[in-house]
Amino acid sequence: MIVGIDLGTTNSLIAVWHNGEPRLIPNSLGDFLTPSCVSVDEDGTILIGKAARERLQTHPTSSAAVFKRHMGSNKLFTLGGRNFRAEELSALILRALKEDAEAALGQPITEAIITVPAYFSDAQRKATRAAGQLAGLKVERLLNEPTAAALAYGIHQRGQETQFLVFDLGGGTFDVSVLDLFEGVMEVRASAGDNFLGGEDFVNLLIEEFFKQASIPVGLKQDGRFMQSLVAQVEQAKRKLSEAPEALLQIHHAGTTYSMPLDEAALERITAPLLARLRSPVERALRDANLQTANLDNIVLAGGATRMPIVRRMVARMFGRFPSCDLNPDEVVALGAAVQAGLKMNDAALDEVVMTDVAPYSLGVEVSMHLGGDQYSHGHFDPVIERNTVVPVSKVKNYHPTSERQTGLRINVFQGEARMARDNIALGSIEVPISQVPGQNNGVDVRFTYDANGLLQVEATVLLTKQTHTLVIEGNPGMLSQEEIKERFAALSELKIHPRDRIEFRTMLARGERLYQQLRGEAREHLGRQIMQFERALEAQDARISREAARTFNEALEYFEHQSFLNLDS
Amino acid sequence: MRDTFPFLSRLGLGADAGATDIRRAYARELKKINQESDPDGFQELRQAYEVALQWLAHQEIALAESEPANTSTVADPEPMPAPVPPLESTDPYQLADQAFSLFRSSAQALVLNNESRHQSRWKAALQGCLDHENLLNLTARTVFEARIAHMLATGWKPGHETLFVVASEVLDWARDSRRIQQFGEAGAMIDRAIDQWKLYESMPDNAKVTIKQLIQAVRSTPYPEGVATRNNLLLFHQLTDRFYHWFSVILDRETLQNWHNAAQAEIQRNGTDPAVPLQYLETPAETGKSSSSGWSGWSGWQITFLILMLIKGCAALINSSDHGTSYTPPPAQLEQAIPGKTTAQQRLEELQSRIEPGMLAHKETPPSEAQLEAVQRQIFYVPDPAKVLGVLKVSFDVELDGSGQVINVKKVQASRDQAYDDAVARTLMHTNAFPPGTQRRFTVSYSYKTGGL
Repeated sequence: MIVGIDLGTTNSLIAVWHNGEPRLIPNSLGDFLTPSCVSVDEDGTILIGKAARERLQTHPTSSAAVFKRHMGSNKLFTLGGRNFRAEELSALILRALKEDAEAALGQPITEAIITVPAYFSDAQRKATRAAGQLAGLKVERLLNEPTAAALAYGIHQRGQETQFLVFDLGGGTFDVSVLDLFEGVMEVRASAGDNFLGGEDFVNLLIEEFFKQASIPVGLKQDGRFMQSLVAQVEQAKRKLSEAPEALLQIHHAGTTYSMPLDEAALERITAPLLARLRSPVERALRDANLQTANLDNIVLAGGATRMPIVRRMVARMFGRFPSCDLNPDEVVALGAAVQAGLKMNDAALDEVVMTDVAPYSLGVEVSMHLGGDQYSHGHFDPVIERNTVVPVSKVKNYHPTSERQTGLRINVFQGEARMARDNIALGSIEVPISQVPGQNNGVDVRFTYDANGLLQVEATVLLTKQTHTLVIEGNPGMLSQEEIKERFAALSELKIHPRDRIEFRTMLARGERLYQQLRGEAREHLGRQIMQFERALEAQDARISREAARTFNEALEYFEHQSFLNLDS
Repeated sequence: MRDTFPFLSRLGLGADAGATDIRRAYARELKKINQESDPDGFQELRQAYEVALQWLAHQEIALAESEPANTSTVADPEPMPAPVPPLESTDPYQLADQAFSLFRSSAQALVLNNESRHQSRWKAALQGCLDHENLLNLTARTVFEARIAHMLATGWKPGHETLFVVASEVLDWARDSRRIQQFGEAGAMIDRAIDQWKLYESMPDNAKVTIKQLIQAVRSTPYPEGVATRNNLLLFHQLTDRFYHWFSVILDRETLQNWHNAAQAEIQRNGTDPAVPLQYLETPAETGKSSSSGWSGWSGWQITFLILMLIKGCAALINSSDHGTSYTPPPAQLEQAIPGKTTAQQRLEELQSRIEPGMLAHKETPPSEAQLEAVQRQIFYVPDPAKVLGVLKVSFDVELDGSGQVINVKKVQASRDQAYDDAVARTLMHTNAFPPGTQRRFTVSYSYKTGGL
């Protein structure tokens, strides 16, 4: 059984292909969305998901979120005195999802399809695959997120001929893909994106504005606990604005109450720079697909941030019509991953469906341009694989030395679209020794192979000697070697994870603690008593008593959550 | 199916295949292949499919050209009913028009107020229009951008030298050349101008100063004959080939023509003195390498940058994966199939024809055999008797202006003798073998059989 996993910036989901359709699997709390958060408890056990998200506010120094943004980098997160890489934190999320699926399906899960933003680089893709390995999962395929969304959408349209665009604005990344569906072939025509644009950026901008407008002391930005509860307030207000015309941002600190009223017009004004950035990837994808907006039959929204009315309105203005809202934007990527799992398992229901994807960016080498005579201009970028080429693909280009006395070639490999190599992302280089024979072709054949997972291999063959050299991207910061993965897998396996069957009560306690911090006065004391009672009930270790106490405690939590929310608006 | 093309037989199709047949056949074959375990098989199929689509597009154009215009009403398909109701009924071309006239008036204001040298002012004017409500519509935006490109490509007006820099950045043309290339001829022209401008930017400071001074001299001396210094004329002569497009954007064309004539006259009078200008223009071979300083163990090596080689055109498209030559259609087909109109080009031409009616109206004819032979006869080349060279073959992409004058040549395949390549390039640059109305771009190959073999 292969599972499909949407490893998101904000939330993660897992789904399977079952009885001819994709199905989401709930976690132990009964939710499909597991927050991509990790926290270390006082006793050193690891909490994952909702409990960890609650603890972001109460214990910011032992909790982490939004680490997907640091995949493929060397950034370390220190939680409870231990350092974690983004891959390791992601692996903990994956492991929790895997256990949910194992519990639901009653069988061990060892293979997965994991989605990545289409615009993820080689290093970020390799880091995602490493995260899978660290979680004990063989990653059968890295699937581009908008392609996954398209699969989930297209599976209902498979009998039709249609062209559509997937607009995927997630928590941390923005992706656009243009697709062509015909004869059961789902062909990605073009993808484009922005790796640093998502719902989290809207929150950050609102926070900046809040600091400015309400004159919150800038020093408070260093206060982790204050910032985390600010993030939570802003998120709540942002979500509220999707339903109500206005919301009030409010936060208390050291006896002062800071507040800022927020309505749609204000939100639109504050986030205008982000909204403007939505345009260029859409333009690029359409351009590369040779399509105009009028040629599109539909616009499919994916990603939680597309719930925001201001984003929807922006989409409508860009395309001159309203987007399709058939699918739940939070779930569509995971569902698509499950469809891909079905394809991978050769499920009979998908016999007539096949999907092709593209390389979303150009890949090439640094060259010198001959200007005439013996003059050269250096540092130009020459693409070997042009962006939006259908993958898997393998292409060769021939290069030769600029001087007869040259004894070696250094092949610098880059990813990007800029004319000059230095403006693109360096992926690595190969050094190829050559010896030249006058009158012969002294060049080198450089072969780029880009597979369906979006992983690149570069080979250089010296034409004279037929010697082949392969690009080794090692030493590239932000990449784990196979040995390191093995070591870290062992280390991660020793970590104490909070038992899955007791996570529900632990999550309730974490939520209680967070509310306790938020409330004040009498309500706070009242909640404090409730927490103590619940803890005492759990100590009895009697399932019936625990269950009953949990029911009461949950009611109290709901009540106080509501109270704290009302409190905000007063 | 004996006499059909290999790419069609790979799809199991005959020469009468239409678009639906090709798509259906591709879908059928694709389902038989496992993309991950057989990437080569997939790539081969994919190439057959892509070539088939290009072949079809070419067929359709040929057909449309051979038939009288009134059949177009028959060919017009019924427009698909939009599944989602359109939001606004406004025509995107109208939206773009309004925004563009807004831009034009702010451009005029800039020039009148003597502010056309300030990048920040141009940036504000351009950004102001881009942020305009009208240009939220993506199609309107593209049309607006096409107009800016066209404005820059059709001759210098005061302030264009600044607008060129600002537009390249604000519209991202400098970073993404495909974005500017979509605007047909104007786009190709601006694209080259940006390349040349970037080349200038990458030069060492002393060379930049020299070029900058020359540009100022050109600007201040519209009639250089008898006024400009010999050094400046020779320098202009050296630079004008390399920076042709860039100069055309940032300098007045009539002035450029005057300088060209004056430089030619000067050379005829006194001959060239290559020692004068070239020394300023050496590119920094060593300093350009600083980005690769991490490579300490190989210090004995020579400069290790690479030179871009041929692999262009059809051969690359079809054979780039080492699959042999099974998909090579006869050369005559190929010549037209690839540079011919793909649907993308059709779309853009349609877009362009709405932007600038008449721009595509005149018909261009490809250069004749006789014209190409005339050039061949003008090539002056004496092989070095000390070298054994065999047959030399060189290919160039040639670009003409409307009058038939060659404005640029780009080597796409080098022969083994640089001297021969240079001789051919020189001849092409100075020939007057092509009459006005000759096709503006084509590729030409010349060969030379040296003695001794």
